[in-house]
Order: sequence, then structure tokens, then C-alpha cells
Amino acid sequence: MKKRKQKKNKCKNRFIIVGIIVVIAILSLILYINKKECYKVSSRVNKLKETIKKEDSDLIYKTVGWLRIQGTNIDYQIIHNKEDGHEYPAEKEYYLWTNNDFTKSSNNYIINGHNIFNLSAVPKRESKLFTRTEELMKFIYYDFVKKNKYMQLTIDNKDYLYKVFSVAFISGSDSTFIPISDSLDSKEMKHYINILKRNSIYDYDVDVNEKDKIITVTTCTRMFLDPDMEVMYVSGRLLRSDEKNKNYGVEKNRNYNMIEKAWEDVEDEDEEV
Amino acid sequence: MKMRKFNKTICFLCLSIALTMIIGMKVVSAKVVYDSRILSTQLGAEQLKKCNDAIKKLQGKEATRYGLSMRLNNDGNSYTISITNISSELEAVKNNIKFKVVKITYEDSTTGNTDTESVSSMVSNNELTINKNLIVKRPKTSQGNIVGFGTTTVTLESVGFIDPELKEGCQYEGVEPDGKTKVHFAVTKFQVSLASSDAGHSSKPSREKPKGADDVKLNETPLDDKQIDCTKTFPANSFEKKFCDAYNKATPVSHPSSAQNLYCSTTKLNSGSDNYYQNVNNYSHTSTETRTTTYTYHYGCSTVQKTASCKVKCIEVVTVEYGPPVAARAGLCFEYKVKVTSRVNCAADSNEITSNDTDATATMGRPRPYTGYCTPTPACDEDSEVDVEAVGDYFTQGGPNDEYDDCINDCDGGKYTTKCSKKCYKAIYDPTYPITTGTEISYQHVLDAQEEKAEQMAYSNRNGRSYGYYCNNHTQIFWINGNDTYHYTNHKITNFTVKGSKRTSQSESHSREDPRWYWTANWGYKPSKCKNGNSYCRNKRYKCYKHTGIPCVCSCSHYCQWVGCTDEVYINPSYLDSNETALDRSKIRYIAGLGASDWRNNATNYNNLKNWCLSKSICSTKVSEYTMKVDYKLQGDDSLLSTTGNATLTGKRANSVASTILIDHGGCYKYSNNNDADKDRWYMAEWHLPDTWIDSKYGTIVYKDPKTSGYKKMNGKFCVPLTVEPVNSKWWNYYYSSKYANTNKTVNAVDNPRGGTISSVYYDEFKRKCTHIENWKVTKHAIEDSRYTPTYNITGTTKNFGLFNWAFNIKCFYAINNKYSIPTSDPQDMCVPGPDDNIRIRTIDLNQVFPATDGTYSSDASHPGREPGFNWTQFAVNEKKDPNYKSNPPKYLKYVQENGYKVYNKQTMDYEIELTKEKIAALKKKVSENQFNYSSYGSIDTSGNISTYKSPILRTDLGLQSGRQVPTERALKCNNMKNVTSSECETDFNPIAATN
Repeated sequence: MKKRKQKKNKCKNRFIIVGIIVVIAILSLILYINKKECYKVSSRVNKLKETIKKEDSDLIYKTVGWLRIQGTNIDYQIIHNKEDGHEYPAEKEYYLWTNNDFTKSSNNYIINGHNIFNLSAVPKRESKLFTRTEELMKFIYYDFVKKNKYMQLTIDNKDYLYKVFSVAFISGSDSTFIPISDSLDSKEMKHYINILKRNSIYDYDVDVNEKDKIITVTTCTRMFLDPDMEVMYVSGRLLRSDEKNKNYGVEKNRNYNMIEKAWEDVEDEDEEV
Repeated sequence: MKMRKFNKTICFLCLSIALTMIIGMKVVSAKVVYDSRILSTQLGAEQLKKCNDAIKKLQGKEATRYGLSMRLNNDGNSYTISITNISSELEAVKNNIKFKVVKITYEDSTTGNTDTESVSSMVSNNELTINKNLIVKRPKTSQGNIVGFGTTTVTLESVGFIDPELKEGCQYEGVEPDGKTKVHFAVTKFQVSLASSDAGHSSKPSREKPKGADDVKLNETPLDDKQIDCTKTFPANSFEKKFCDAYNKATPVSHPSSAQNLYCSTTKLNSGSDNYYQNVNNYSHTSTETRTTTYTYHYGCSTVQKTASCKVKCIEVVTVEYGPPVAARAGLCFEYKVKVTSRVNCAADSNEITSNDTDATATMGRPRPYTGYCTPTPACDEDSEVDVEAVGDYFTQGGPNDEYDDCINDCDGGKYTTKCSKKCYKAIYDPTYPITTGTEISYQHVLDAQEEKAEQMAYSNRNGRSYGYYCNNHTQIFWINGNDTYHYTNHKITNFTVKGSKRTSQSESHSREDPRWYWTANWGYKPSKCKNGNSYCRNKRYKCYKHTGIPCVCSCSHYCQWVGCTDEVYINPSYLDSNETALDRSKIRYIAGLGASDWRNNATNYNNLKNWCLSKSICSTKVSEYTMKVDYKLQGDDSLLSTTGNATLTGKRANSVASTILIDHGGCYKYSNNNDADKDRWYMAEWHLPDTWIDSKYGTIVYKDPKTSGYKKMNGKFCVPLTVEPVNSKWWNYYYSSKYANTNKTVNAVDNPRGGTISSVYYDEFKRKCTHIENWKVTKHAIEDSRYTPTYNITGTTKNFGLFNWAFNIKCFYAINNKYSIPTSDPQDMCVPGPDDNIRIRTIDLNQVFPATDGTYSSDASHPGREPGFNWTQFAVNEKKDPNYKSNPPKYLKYVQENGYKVYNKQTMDYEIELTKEKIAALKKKVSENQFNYSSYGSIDTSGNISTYKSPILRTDLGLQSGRQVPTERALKCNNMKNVTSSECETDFNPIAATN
């Protein structure tokens, strides 16, 4: 009887231990998943330094930073014209540009890139012709944005990560109020964030407020055949000090209807020649 | 040990769970936006404060509030207003909130037109769909392009849900669905919070509120197009009665200003003072007069003029009255009068003023209202005149240039296929692509000359004030040099952030929201869309040229313009900057005030026109002219002499008119007669003959004021010279024969020089004595015979009379017949044969020198009888030619009559002459020698301004005076000598003593 009782207790203990192990295993799995980085940082500090070092001082522009965008081939230098009034030529490849000075006080970086070969209503994801920012158009595809949410800006010998929180096509009065200044006060920033979020085709599970630093990458599109909708804005906010570069939620919202509407009108798939 | 392990395990487990919970927690944030802008200009101060207070309260309760958003639906034809940014607290009741649109108002900024549409059926739940056409109401061109700018206000009202926090009346600026239409949400009972931003930085054209044009209001009195109906009965003495009385008798006249000759009737004789105007004629004229006024709009580059006109139908009835012919006597005076009266009735031909202005705001002939001035915005496009891309919109675009898009369009219709993309990339960006040379698309040819000038001027004046101004003509703004003092404007030089211009202030972060007048390095043109080099356009690649001092513009058809304001609106002259002087500001205000001053002038013109249309008559301001002339001939002189009087009258002139011939005037010719409500509806002038002056002592007649004493002025009378040549003698005979030979035996006093009637007693005596009257009797039949034409020697004329400038020549005559003495009431004097008898000797009764008709009284006004001559009248008192020789005929007459035949005594004797047989013979001889010219002996002494005849026969030559008395030469000049012995003038007229 005693043995039977001891045997019974032993069995009970084993069950508890197994349970604990299972719980620990689950928790560990959760921890593992949570600890797994969504974006692997590959520093461009040295590359940026080399580029700047090689630059001819007679050039009308100077390289001021480097930008990588997750899931795309965009891994280019950022240039800025030394003097106003000069074009950022479309025929030049592998670069982005900014009208900002990229100072430390900046909290709003706007970086632009040309899109020459991916302007159709159904943008392609990849092509050997895409040597500018054509691949930024990947952000219209939901399966892409679910996996790719980070942008890496390298300036001042440091790499900064930004969490994408908006992919937007902005028209109407909102487009009028997009600031081009690289330094916004809290009211302007708050307003700007609102514009980006309400025009976004996705709802990202990212908290953004006026204290954050924002980066917006733009390129051209003709997919809507609407002069008011010729720019795509992909915006991210600087990873906060207490955050890790982990994956986060994203959902299509009703704005996404315009994308689908644009596709409806396309008759034939463009065959690359 | 195991326990420690277990505790560690538990601790780790708890930590893990806690961490997992923290990590897995979804951050929820309130997303309510309350930065909508209250449109302060549309709210009163008190209401604005309430709104502000309410907003402040809401700011602190964001988590419990909600907002609305508006977006264009995928169908492209509708917008959806939905509750967004809702808090979890309100989420539960979200579906219970219903609201509806009750009113949609659209105000077009370019035209100022407002279109309000009441909507009541659009009830929904928390989401509401509105047709795009209700929101975007901007007009379209014939090509279907939407043009213009405007503001749509959507008024929402909750259904069964009243927000307790926000009171009625707040308004919020909303979104711009299409970028060119602002939408405002007006809250009535429902709080709406729309995402928007600080307005006032909009680059869209705006319309300023009108200023300074409130002081002139339009006359809104309806026009009356009804004439007087003369078939009706009107009260006696009313204007309508008088008008219709004349109108019903009137002869229509086509050309009233062509003078009509009117002749007095030869048979309508003077029948008494109460009915002087025996001749009456009525005429009427109807005219539809159109008066036009001009409205001028100084729209800056063009001055637009429109006209408005009003038709008024006026009927003027003129009554001409004039006296009968006059049977005159030499030496006596007569009067002749003419009176012309007109009455006018006017009424508008229609009940509205017409205008050639087709502008929708210019209704019923009114001038266009001043609704403020418009501020345009610059924009560029490639080949369209409208719906263009705002300057500066491209600055973030990281795409191909317009030439690339053109190329794609040409290649695949805008699909941007890879094939065409590659082709066009090569064409546009490949430096090896062949270049089409030529200048046909060069810069100079691309730009309109005026555009280019505008650009240059703007550029050269960018650092200071620009003396000139921009005009908007056919949707283009171009520059006009400021030659005119008032054509002045200043461009606010701002840091308009497009590529190529700098932002210099951190505070101007919203630099794209540049106010009003834009200036950029290339001012109004798309800057730097292509570099100075090659450009692709219309399947060809062209060489672009850089214009001196201006970045190049490479396009085959870039069309840059100021948009948002039509060519017929007032353009905002400028925004001022702090460098401007007070003088500059005043000039600019002047320009800004052109709209207001135009309105004032145009409204005044309209009111003047309206007043004219409303008036039943407008007083003519023409100078009407009047004359009266009498012709005469003197015996022995065949030349025709005349005396003429003139007068003029002007509408609304003073009551007193300096004129020698005007008797009276009225209606429009009087300045004001407030008792006469119809004073502007009639005209009247009455005039008579010019004056005559008669020498009191000698009866000399002159027709011009001699400006000397001793003459009596006979107002409005023509006095017939004693030596007048007979005229119209036949009519004279007719007149008197009809007067005295009729069986009625009564003759009106008018024809009796002393007035009164001739009694039957005298008439019988007349017939008895005047047996020869049959010799000159003229029957009425003979006068009425068409072969008889009198000499019309009295002419009264008028011209420019009344509203229609009537002209009349009224002709009549007087008659003189010296061959027969004039029958008088005195039987003793009747029918005294007197052909060629110039001298008549009349004995008088010294006790009754001028007896009344019945002989019992001296004649006076109440007892007519023999009329005293001029020298017996008061007019001859106090001879003024020489004050030393006074006269007082009335006193003397009294003296004579009181003394009777006592005057024939030595005490009053003037001459004492002795006639003997010898002296008489000598006298006869003398007369014979002088051919019986009795006045040829002596001399006339003119000393002392008095002419005195001195006869040597009486005084010296024949000795007639020998041993007798003659007056002294001084006494000869007396009107009445005292007596021959004193040689003094009689002044006292004392009673004469009863001596012989």
C-alpha cells in the first residue's frame, strides 16, 4: 500500500516535472522567437567613408549618407547638391538624394530616388533594369511588407534602423502639407505623422509620436495615372533605444483598395524584353 | 538543492510569462486629431470664443472623442465620410451614431458665386457616402477639364445624438478631396473633427472680401410702365385732368422742334380781360427715349465696359395761347401776350433695365457686384490651359521628366511597358541619342512674348519693388510696365521652396504654402525640369537654350500661367512687405480699391439711370428761348422798323427771371415748387411785348431804355408812334364797324380807350352823326375771305420749349387807320370828319377838364370818361431835366378845376398881346411870306436841358406886345408860368382872387 502510494507520488512528480519542462520549452520557444532579429544589420559605415573619400571635390554633389532598404536592392549612397539649382540626373544609377543637410538636429529625413523602369500600373518586383529605386515599389505587395519592415540609414559613422510604419500615396490637401524641412517642431511632426498614417495602405503595429525621428523615402510612380498620385512615400521611424529590430504586425487597410483598383484596369501583363 | 532548483524554475517561469505578456502587449493609442482650424472669418466673435473654449475642452479629452474623415472612394465618383480615430469608449456606441448632411454650399473662389444645396435624405449610420458631384462643383471646360477653385462647406447634423461638449455653430476646415476644392464641415449639432491643418498657407487662389463698397446701394424700386389712361375721369384741377383735356384736343406733331407758324384769328376779337387768350392750339408729341449708362470695370490688364439702358415713353402735350389782333391808335399803347404750357407724362417702356452684360451677376441691368479681388496662383502644365500642376509640386518627385512621360505616352499610351520604358530612356537620357537640331522649339519660340516679358520683369525686379503690374488676360498673367502712377504692385519675395530656391528660415518649414504672389528663381515656370542641354519633345530631341539670367526651360509646350482667376475679376494687387513706404501702401490700396470705386461709380450710374426711368418726366435742362417783336413803319419812310424783346428760361432755374418780356413761368422752369407734386411734369412760360418809354412831357416814344429821366416805362406795351404808317386799315375798319355798327349797341370796355361801354343813347347819336360810316364799313365776311391777308406785324416765338424742344412762331397784328378818327363814347366827338386833319381843337370845361361819361364827375377808374394825356398825369410830376422848373400836373389840374374860368384873368395871364387891324395885316403877311409855317420864325432854346421855343413875332417883331407884357425868357421854360408880370413858375397854385 505504501509502495503503491510512493509509486503514485513518484508518478505525480514526474508529471509535474514534464509539465514544467513543457512550459519552459514553450516559453523558451517564445523567447527565442521574440529574441530573433527581423533585420540583420550590415554596417555601411566603412563603405560610406570610402565613397566620400573617393569623391572628387569638383563634383557638384557630395555624398552625405547611405541607405539600405530591407528586401530590395536599394543599397545606395545618398547625395546632396552643393549648390541649388542642379538636377539629380535620372540617367545616373545607384544613388539617392536629399534636399536636407542631414544635421544631428534633424528629425525628418526625406530621401528621394528615381524610378525610371518600374512605372507601370503593376510594378515588377525585380529586374536587371532596376538600378535606381524601382524596387521600392515592392512595398505595394502585402506579402513583401509582412517580411520587410526595416530601413538602415548610415550617417555620421553610425548605422540607424528605422521601422516602416507607412506606405502611402498622398494626394489632395495632405500632399500640400508634407514638410520638406528636416527639422520639425512637435506640432508639425505630429501632423506629418498623421498624414503619413492616414494615407498609408497598411496599418503597421508601430507606435509613432512627435518625439520620434522620421525617415521618408520617395520615388515616382505612374500606376494611378493621376498627376496627384505620382509619388510613393515609404516612411519609418527610428528604432527606439528600448526596442529590438523584431517583426511586428501589419495589415492592409481600406486604402489598399486603390492599389487593387489600379490593377483591375490592367489588361495584359508586361513582358520584359 | 532541488527546492532551490524548483524555485529558480518557478521564478524563471514567472519572469518569462511576465516578459511574454509585456512583449506581446499591443500598444493602443488614441488617434484623434483636433487640429482643425476654426474658420474665424465665418464666426462672430462671441461664437468664436465659444468654439475655442469647446475645442480646448476637447483637446484634453482626446481619448473620449472621435473624429471624421473623408476620402475619395475607389469608384472615383463618391466620397465617404466616416467616423474615424474613434476611442474605445465610443467604439461601443459607434453604430448608434447617425448623422446626415443637411446642406452643401459651394463657393467658387474664381467667380464668387455661391451654390447652396439642401440635402435631407442622406441619413446613414456612422458612415456616409456623398456623390463627388456634390462636393466638387467646380466648372468644367468644353474639354471636360475641371477648372477654378472653390470651397465646399458640408453641414452635418446628428440624428438622435447631440454632442454635449460642442455647441452649435462651429465650423472646421476639412480636407481637399481633389486638391483644389476645400471642404469645410460646418457643425450644427454634431461635432466634427477632421484632419486638416493650419489653413492660411494655401497656395490656392483666394477671393478677398470686398471692402469699401458698402456706401452705395442700388435703387431697387420697380419700374412702372403704365401711361395715363385718358379714357378715365380724373379729379378737377388734377394733373391728369389737365393733361388729358389737352391731349384729347391735341394735334399730333412728329417734329416738335421744327417751328410751327400759328396765326391769330382775324375774327376772334378782344372780348374782355377775363378772356384775353382768344386763340388756343394744342399739340402732342410721343417719343420713346432711350438713355444708356456705362459700367466700367478696371480689371487691371483690361478695362471692361458694359452698358445698360432704359426706354422711356413720354407724351408731351403743349397748349399755345395768344391774344387777338389789336386795333391801335397812334400815340397810344397796347399789349400783346402769348402763353405756352406743356404737360408731360413718361413711363418706362418695360419693367426692367436692359444690359448687354451677359455675366450672371449682372441681372436686370444692374452692374456686376463687387465681391472682392482674386488672388491667382501660378501653375505650369505641358499643353493644357487648365487643371495644371502647381509650381513646386515636383520637388520630391523621383521620376522621369515630362519628356519621358511624353515619350511613353506616344509609345504605349502611358502603360509604361518595359519595352517603351527602355526606348524612352534611351531617347531622353542616352547622350548618344541623335539630336534634332533646329530652333523651332527653342526657348524663345516656346514662350509667349508676354510671358517671357513677365518672367524677365519679375526676375529683374526680384530684389525690390516692381513698378508695373501683372494682368490676367485669358487665363494668363502678363506684365505691364508701370507707366501709370497707379499701376503699381509689389511682389512679396518669399522663400518659395521649389528646387532652385532657398529656404532661409526654420520657421518657414511649410514653405510650399507660400502666400499669394510667387517668386522663384524662374518665376512661374517649371524650374529645372530639364537641364541646359537636350530635351525630348514629341518624339524628337531638341536642343534647349538657356535664357540669360534665367534657368533654362526645356519643353516644347510648357504652359505656365497664373490660374484661379478669370480675366474679368479684380486681381489682388500684391501683398505688402515691410520695406514698403507709406506712399507705396497708399497706391496699392488705391489699386485694391478699384473694385470698390468701380462699384460706387457703376452703382451711381445705375441709380441715375433708374431714377430717370422711374421719373414721370425729367425736367429739360435746355435753355428755352422767347421773343416778342412788333414791326412798324413811319410815314414817309418805307423801311420796316421793329422792336424786339428776348428772354430765356432754363429748367429748374430760379423763380425770379430777369427779362423784359416774361410775365410768368412755372413747372420745370421754376427752381422749386414743393407744393406742386408734379412740378417736374409741366412747363409754362407767358410773355408779352417789349417795353416802351414815353417822354412824359412831349410824348416822345422810344423802344430802348433812354437811361434818362423824364420817360415813363410802359411795361410790356407797344406805344404807337404818332407818325406811324397806317397798317391793316381794312381790318381796323372791320374791327370798329363790327364794334359800333352792330345791333347789340354794347361795346366792351377794352375797345374803349377809357373803358366802359357805350350806352344806347350814344350809339343812337353815333348812328345819327356817323352816316358816313358805311363808307368804311368792313364786314366779317370780307375779313374771313381767304384772299384777305393781314400784315402780321406782331411775332412771338419760342424754341427749345418743354421736354421735346418745341418751337412756335405765333403771328398776329395790330391795325392803324389814320383816315378816320376813332369813334369814342362821346357823341360830340363821333365821326368827326378828318381826312388829312392832323389838328383838332377841343374845347373843354375848365370846371370838368376830363369829365366822366355822364358828365357828372371827373373821370377816374370808377367813372370812366375822357382820358387825360400824359402831360396831365402824375407821370409828369417834377420835370427832372431841370430841377429849377418843377411841374405838378395833377395839382395844376385841381387848381384849374377849382378856379374854373377864373383862370382867365390878368393874375394868371401868360401873354398880353394887342391885335390891331394893322398888326393883324402884318401878321398875315408874315405868315404868308413864310408859307404858313408858323414855327419857322423863332428859335429853340435848349439851354438847361429844356427846349423852349421863343417866338420873335410874339415878343418883338410885329409889336404885338407893344405896351403889353411878355414873359421873361426864364419863365418860358416853366411848365406853368405864375403870370406874365412875375415871370415865375407856378408852384403854389393858390386860389385865385376874384378879380378881373
